[in-house]
Amino acid sequence: MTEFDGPQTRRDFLKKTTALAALGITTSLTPDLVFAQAKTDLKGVTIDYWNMIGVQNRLVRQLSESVVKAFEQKTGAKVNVTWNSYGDIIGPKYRTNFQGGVKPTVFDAFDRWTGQLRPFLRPMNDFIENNLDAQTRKGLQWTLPLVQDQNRGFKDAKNICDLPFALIPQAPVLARRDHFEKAGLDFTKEFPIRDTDHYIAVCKEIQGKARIQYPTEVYGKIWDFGDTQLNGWIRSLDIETSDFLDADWTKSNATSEAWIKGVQFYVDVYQKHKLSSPNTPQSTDEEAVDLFIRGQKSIVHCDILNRGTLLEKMKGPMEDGTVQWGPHFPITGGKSGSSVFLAMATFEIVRQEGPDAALKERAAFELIKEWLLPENQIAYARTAGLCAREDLFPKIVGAPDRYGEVGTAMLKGAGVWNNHPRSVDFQYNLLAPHGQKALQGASVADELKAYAEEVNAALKT
Amino acid sequence: MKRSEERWLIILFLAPTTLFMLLLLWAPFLQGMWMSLHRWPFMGEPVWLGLRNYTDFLGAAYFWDAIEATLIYSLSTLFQLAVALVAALALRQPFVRFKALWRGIMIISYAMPPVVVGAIWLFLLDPGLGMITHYLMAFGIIEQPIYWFAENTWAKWMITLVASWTFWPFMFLIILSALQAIPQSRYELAEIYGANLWQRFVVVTLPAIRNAILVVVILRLAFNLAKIEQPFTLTGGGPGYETSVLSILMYRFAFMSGDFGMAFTVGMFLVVMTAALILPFAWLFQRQVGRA
Repeated sequence: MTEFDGPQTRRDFLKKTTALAALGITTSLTPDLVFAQAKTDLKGVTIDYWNMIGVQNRLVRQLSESVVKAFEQKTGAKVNVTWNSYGDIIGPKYRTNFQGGVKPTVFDAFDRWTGQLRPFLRPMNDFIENNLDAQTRKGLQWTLPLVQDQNRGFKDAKNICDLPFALIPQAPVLARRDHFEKAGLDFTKEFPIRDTDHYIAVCKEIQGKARIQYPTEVYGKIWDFGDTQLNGWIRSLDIETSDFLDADWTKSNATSEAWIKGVQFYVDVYQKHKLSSPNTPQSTDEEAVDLFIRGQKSIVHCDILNRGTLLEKMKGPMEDGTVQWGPHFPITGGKSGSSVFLAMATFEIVRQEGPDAALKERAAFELIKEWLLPENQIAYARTAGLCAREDLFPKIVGAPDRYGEVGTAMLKGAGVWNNHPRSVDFQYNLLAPHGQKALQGASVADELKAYAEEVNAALKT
Repeated sequence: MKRSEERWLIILFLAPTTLFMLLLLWAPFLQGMWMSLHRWPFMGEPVWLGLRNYTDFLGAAYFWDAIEATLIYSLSTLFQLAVALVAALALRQPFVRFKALWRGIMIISYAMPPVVVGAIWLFLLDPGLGMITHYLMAFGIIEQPIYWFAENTWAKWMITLVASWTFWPFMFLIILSALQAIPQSRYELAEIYGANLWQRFVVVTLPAIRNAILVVVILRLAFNLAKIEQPFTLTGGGPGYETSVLSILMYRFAFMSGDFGMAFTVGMFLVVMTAALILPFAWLFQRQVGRA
């Protein structure tokens, strides 16, 4: 992994990436010019691709379209793309369609939401072994044990049904240098944030001296409570019990000491320290980023996926170093060695039926390979976060906002959430109401106990 | 035509509707009842539980939160009626110009998808970025922003008010058409007898539109209680379960927990509650029709 080694100038970054970016844009946007000859002959094969990654931002959608176009040009295959939203896979659409026989050949998703669809998925071990070039395989190798770990509760956990192509470490910190300076803080000394004591101290300084009423935010809304910075804080106290479920998926970890301490600190940021807005029980990281852009927040946790929005709305401060990313930090005294959960954007191939099943599955993997090409990996990373190929990490560092350095540094020792078939229920639906009650003043231990009981009851059914 | 032939003709005309009702309404309803007596996972075999889902739901910590939220949410029907009635009466006045334009403007909220309306209101009411908070503070009406969706009581009332704003045009259109059917001569006669504005409303207008009002109240009560997408967009059912109206709970059990047995159990409560709220109005309507 790339070490987090301080700021770089815009010039350094531009020098390193201009050539690569040009290659990425050229190959992605004008495949007909670059690839005059087909590499793999899949003429006559039609595959259905359900695309979710394209909803992230306009640039990712453009990239998706150009990747598909390039694939079609190279192979002669035809791809029918259906654009879907996160809600479609979290909600009923994928499940009900799959169950009813309406299935794509290939789709992209987030790694922890596909457990519910696992019976429909085709393992990719043979493709990875035999059909992936050595360089790409080497670049992705480090992700495969993580994929297996998050599927550990399945009997066929060794099967790789989810192949990562992008990474979202949860959750880096965005900071405004101008707020630090207004509060009389030396940004180079006080950032990155070291631990939660340091975080509270810095936020209080900014609140008092820079007159930012609520300089940070913890999030209560259903999709963000257990999905952003909370889990990393729990992990910093104890790796073993930091996931939602225990090692063999038989019970909830939520009554562990690490969970109680982690959630208590999360609540304290709002209730005790008054550093998070009164909207906290219903707040989201998207809203916090908006407030950050407007100068009403100083330090917020959010996905690197927000980088596209930030570049669009505050290009200047992103390029002159006023806005910088920092790694997530542990709870003070938390010595587990990791304070990060890693979400991965993955590709899945659906088991095909009929005489051309093998050909379609192969075509699906060829499309995945297109996404894994260096130029597409880098083009994705420049607009929406981190690519999955480790060998390309050096190519995405150097931006003045340091997203590449921060993101890749956070990968060291990062954990993964389980991919239990009911992971959406456990992580969002059941947890958020209890989290919101805790944020409103209910006992953290009691709420976590009630949550754990609900999860344990669900696990028995 | 012979009487027996008439009877067969009636049966023939009723058959498609009856078949439609049986296949698309009663069969799924009975299937839902049956499922509510089971643990019915999305994938896998159902397991008979008897009344266990019902006792679990009645004993759940969030049961009363959900009932209270649903009752408050049902009040949006009354708000819709009040706004629709005033708007329709105003538009009936002869001095109002550009009536077609006003009618068009008034149905905009109903023409938009409820989720979009919800998202617009979410933005308008945002305590940091929203216009409403901004102007309330600018005019000195409030000193601090109100966190509408983060405070339990506000959250319940805000989803109710947003639903009222979105769906009132449906009532408006039906009441307006009933108003337009009242002959002008009745008002003129009432004026000759010296009736003032209020008396004309009570004696002429109200009796003429009573049936329309009862029908729209019945329809909107049923429609409102089944709404999921808009309140879910606004609050996600929270904070806690404070805005988890029964329809949201049903959705969460079915599609987030994959527990269709429990979802249909909640659905049965929703059916009973909807029927209890609708029945008085249905009885009044029936009585009105009987009198006519």
